[in-house]
Amino acid sequence: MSSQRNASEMGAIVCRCEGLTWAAVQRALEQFQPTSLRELKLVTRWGMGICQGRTCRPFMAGVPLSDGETTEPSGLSLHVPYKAVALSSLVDEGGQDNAWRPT
Amino acid sequence: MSAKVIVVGAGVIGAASAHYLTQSGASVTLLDRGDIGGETSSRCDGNVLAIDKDPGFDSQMALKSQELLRELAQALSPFEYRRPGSYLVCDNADEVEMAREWVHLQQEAGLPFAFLDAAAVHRHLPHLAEDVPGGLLCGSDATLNPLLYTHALVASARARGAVVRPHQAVQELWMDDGRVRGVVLESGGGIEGDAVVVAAGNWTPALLQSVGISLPIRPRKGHLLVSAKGPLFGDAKVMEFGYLMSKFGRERQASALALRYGVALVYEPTLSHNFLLGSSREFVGWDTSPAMEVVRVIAQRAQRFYPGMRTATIMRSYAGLRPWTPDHFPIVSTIDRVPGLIVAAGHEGDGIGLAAVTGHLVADLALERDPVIGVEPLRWDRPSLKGVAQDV
Repeated sequence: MSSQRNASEMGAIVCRCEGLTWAAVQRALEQFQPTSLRELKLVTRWGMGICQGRTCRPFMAGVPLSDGETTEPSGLSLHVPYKAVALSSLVDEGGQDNAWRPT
Repeated sequence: MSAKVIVVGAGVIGAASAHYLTQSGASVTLLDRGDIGGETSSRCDGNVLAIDKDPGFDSQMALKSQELLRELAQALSPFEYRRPGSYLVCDNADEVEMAREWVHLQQEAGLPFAFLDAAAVHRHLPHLAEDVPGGLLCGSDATLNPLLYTHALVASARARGAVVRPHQAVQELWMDDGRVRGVVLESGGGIEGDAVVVAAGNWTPALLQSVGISLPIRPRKGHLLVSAKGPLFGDAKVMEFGYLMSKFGRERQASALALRYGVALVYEPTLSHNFLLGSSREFVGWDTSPAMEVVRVIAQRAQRFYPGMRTATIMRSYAGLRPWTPDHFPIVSTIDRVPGLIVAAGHEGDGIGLAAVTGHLVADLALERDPVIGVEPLRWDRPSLKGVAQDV
């Protein structure tokens, strides 16, 4: 937890994509009392920017959460397309269906 | 002494119920087996729409909820509420004729709708593909951040004394002499109450089976894509007219894959400067992991209406399970043969928009007041839900 303590002392940005400060994380912990990393993500937007948590996840995974009444996994998962892509690249890989036009 | 009410499910419907119950002086315990808003209410978009409701009770219920939501936006902690209106845009000339008729019906019912011909739709929505032949708008429609909304409702209930217990699963209803006495927890022990509100979305039928009540609510999977921060394609919500057809299961012209996955364009800008793209509707069980093929079809549909999105960056997708009912109305109802039990579930894709009116109605039913809207169309034993097998 020492790196989290250092962040607090420095008032650091903990998620640069979303410009999220450690102070804002602490406020959210108090206000929303999240019981999973996923819930903390949804109320602070950590890991929701262009790097998709590649930079901040190891750090945020160490944030202590409110006492849930049972132990649960983080709730975090990875979803397609896994990395930032141009919309056109999703379209162009769509195959023949893409050529459909109304009759 | 104040009524003790147990609310099972801390999604947006249970949260709104807890808010309105505590506002009326009830003593509330709010339970969820997972996080607050951890399932459907955080795997959705922020629809507060009248534009896609049938004229009549459907649209009047939506308008009432919009009116209540305007009050909530003043009273609760911020949840990114704004009211930019919403648009439906047409793919082809047939849809333009249907849109004209739709607007006519809605205007006659007193809703703030306007028909947009080709010139008008491009004036309102300059990023649209040139061949889009028309559309319509609804001026009262709003949008918000669904999880922050759910949390704001929970915080309000908590401030008025509600006990909020996430990660506390209910095993079954606690029955005593034919009436509900409370709930039995999976972790052991029970909680007593004068009334139990089951607002557990897709999980509602399983909870009610033990008391012999069968509800035709089924999970309908819906996908959404998320863009990176970047230029937006307008500030208002835009859907294609075919979204209506897809929602109501009516015939429409679209590609085979779009029809198979129930894909219709939904564009929703967020306050975080990214946009969401939807949507799909499928009955494929309980899996919430997004499928690449569905993501591609949604992207295709978006590019058909917004050619300029070609270069937009998509960085993730997610999917949620909308609690579907056969007649597209939620179930918000007492159950005569199980005194003390209230059901509030089955809102499909309208849970965010209808949470306010639903929560108000739940409080009305629990406290035996005059209901805020008619209760008959939402009863669990209404004719349009009868005879529908759960495993169709």
